[in-house]
Amino acid sequence: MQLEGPSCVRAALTAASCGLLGIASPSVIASAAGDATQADTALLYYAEHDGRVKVSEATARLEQPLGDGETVTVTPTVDVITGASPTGATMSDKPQTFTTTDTTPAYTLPLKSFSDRRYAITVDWQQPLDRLTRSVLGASASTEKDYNSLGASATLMRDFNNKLTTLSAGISGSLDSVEPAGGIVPQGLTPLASAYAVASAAPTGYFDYEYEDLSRPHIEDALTTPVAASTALVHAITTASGAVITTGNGGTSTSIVNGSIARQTKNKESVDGMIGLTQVVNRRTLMQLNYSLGVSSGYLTDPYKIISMINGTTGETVDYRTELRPDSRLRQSIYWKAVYHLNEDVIHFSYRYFWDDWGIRSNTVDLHYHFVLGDDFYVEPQFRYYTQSAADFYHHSLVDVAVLPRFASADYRLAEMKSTSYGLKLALAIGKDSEVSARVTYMKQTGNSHPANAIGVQRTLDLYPGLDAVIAQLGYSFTF
Amino acid sequence: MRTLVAMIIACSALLLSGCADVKPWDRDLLAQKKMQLVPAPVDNALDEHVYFSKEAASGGQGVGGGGCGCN
Amino acid sequence: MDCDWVESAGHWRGSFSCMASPCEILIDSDDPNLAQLLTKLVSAEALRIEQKYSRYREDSETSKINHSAGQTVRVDAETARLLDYADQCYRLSGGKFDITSGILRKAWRFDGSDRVPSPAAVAALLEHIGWSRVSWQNPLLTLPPGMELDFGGIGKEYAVDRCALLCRQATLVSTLINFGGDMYISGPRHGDGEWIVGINDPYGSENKQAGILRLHRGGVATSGDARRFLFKDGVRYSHILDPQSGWPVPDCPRSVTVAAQTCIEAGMLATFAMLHGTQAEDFLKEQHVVHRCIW
Repeated sequence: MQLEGPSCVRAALTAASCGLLGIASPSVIASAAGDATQADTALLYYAEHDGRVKVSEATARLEQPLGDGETVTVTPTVDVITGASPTGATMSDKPQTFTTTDTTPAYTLPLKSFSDRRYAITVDWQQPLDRLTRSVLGASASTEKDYNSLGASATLMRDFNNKLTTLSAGISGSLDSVEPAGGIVPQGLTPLASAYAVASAAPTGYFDYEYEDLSRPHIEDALTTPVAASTALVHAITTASGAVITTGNGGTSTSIVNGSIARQTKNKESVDGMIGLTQVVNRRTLMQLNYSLGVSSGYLTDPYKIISMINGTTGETVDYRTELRPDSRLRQSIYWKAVYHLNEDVIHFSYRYFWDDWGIRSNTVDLHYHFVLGDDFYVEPQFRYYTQSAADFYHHSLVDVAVLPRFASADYRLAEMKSTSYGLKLALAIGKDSEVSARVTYMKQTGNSHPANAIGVQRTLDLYPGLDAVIAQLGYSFTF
Repeated sequence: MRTLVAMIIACSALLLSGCADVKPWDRDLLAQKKMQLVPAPVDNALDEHVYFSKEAASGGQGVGGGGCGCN
Repeated sequence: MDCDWVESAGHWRGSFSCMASPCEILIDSDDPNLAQLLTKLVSAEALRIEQKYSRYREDSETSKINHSAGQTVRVDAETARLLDYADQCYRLSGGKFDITSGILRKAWRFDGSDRVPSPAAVAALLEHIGWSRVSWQNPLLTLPPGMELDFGGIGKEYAVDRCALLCRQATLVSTLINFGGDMYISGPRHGDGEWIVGINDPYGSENKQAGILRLHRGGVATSGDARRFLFKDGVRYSHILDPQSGWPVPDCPRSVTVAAQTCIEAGMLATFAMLHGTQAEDFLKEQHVVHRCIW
């Protein structure tokens, strides 16, 4: 017999017999059909170069069939995030710590250290509505020290064309609230001293602001050194006895209130919609095309990020202001995915074009090659290439006496940049229902280090922080 | 913008063209886990989270999934 | 139709005769009403399929097709699915599984004697064999005059799985449906127990076992020539015929048992294995199925 390949006969016969019986899969005639819970667990470790951000994440995805095509999936996640993230303050050639005799400039990137733990859970409930239609309802919740999120989603899927075509439509909404560490939501685009000014006279609540690593350069130090004395940052440090507020320029200590200032929160709402088409093109090829539209409104600014005000002639930093972003954002994307089966291997390719009303245009190309090396073992090299243009209001720094723009942010994630990731996944099947896997990815982000509008001393500095990160993941999937 | 529209039309044409002759028994390959649109949902979710917190763009594959304060 | 409680095993057993075989359904429950209901359901469906596709009944679909004298026949949805399936098996087997090969029975009578047909007789029949000569465009079938269709190679396994589907719609209780050795097990017995299936010894008496299968779920089918063969001049002629040559497949196993996800799948894999002759075992190993070949 000439066949397409040995194990193809069995697979073809399974499919053919299901066709003869008019069922989707053999489990339809089995009783207590597939009552096993599928568990996919993973541990992830993400680390940026120079000891910046480090994240450890543990997650488990538990999928439980309830019979008749109904499924419930629960995914709990815990993240621990530590490290320091760029504040947005521009690179400076002034030393970031006190020195006496050493005049060698140490180019340091102003970073803000933080530590946080995040707990999140999502629950999805899939329900067949009739032979060709299914719906998925989802809910999610996430909480961390300074951010909480609640969301819900609904998706409807319908098959056409002998189940070769599937049309899906989904909508989701989320309500997020930001409660910055320190308890104060700063005024946007305002010099740091006044940004955190305490307004309330009838305080309720408790200040809580922890420093994890005082040896690392942080905003306060940047300000206490050569910058003009007019700047000062109000901050709070927890002590065992309650809240103490001190100003940061030379150590005058003023105890304002003993442990009671209202914690400020800001909200953000998002609504997202998606329509998608999935199509079986031929025996080896599957494709998907999605269009998504999302609207966010509310507090979209990052309360921790600042932007440097520089001298228009020398390029020296003279002040810092908080950033400010618009209070609405309209996002759209087109996503195309193709899956192609070779002899044994499978190629996954996707392209996404994203654009929004902040002026950002981005392209994402993603390629995975699933390389079958044996009955139980596969290797999957992964490649991702991402580009984005800068947001309209992105500035690496602002000239001090120029007219202030309405919105401004120096967040490197809104700048023009490219990101390339190279990854490799190895997986080993254990028995019939388990798999153990390991994945390593190297991600490199680069941007415009020497923009044309750099002034004075800025011309000699690398103005885009860049990012090198390594992501390591261990996974274990099993059924029970 | 025009290139975007052209791309959409090309993709749709590609999607709807070759779908004529796929018999039920030809769906054997498609049933395999490695042929799913998202073969490893956990990997996908972890990646999406990392890239969401480091880039301006997000989403595209679906709706829902939960938010975080990392962007 | 009988329905009895099997004390030693703790399940109900419904039994009847159909498709020239003893048929039974084992029900993992102590509910007599359920047992009665399922036995009635299964015997009715088995009878329906037998009557619809029997070669011997004048009013069956098969007769309607075989007496069409070259005229185009419009078949119903169920027959169309069977024809599509037969077509796919024909292609997957490189033409060695062919539902038009039934007329070879006119030359070959496997009664254990030494009456092997003449090559001329076989060659004459080959003129009327070949699925590729049949025009099949769902739902229209045109069979050239002189050709015949025979669903015997898939009928029993199809009936088993169809009955399993009906039982599944009626209850979540585990059942074992066995039509003359071709069976389907819908799920584990109480307490996650296995169903224990004995593989008959083709050389031994009726109840002698050559092996045991322990299953939670799935279809089992056995293909074998233990009882139907011809023997002449030291050569054993198996009843598994190659439709392209008209002669038996040489050196095939005495019996092949396969366990797969459905009875239809198990049956076809067992048939394919037999058609591979000496390579039967290798073929089944490549397919990664639970199997047992007895030579």
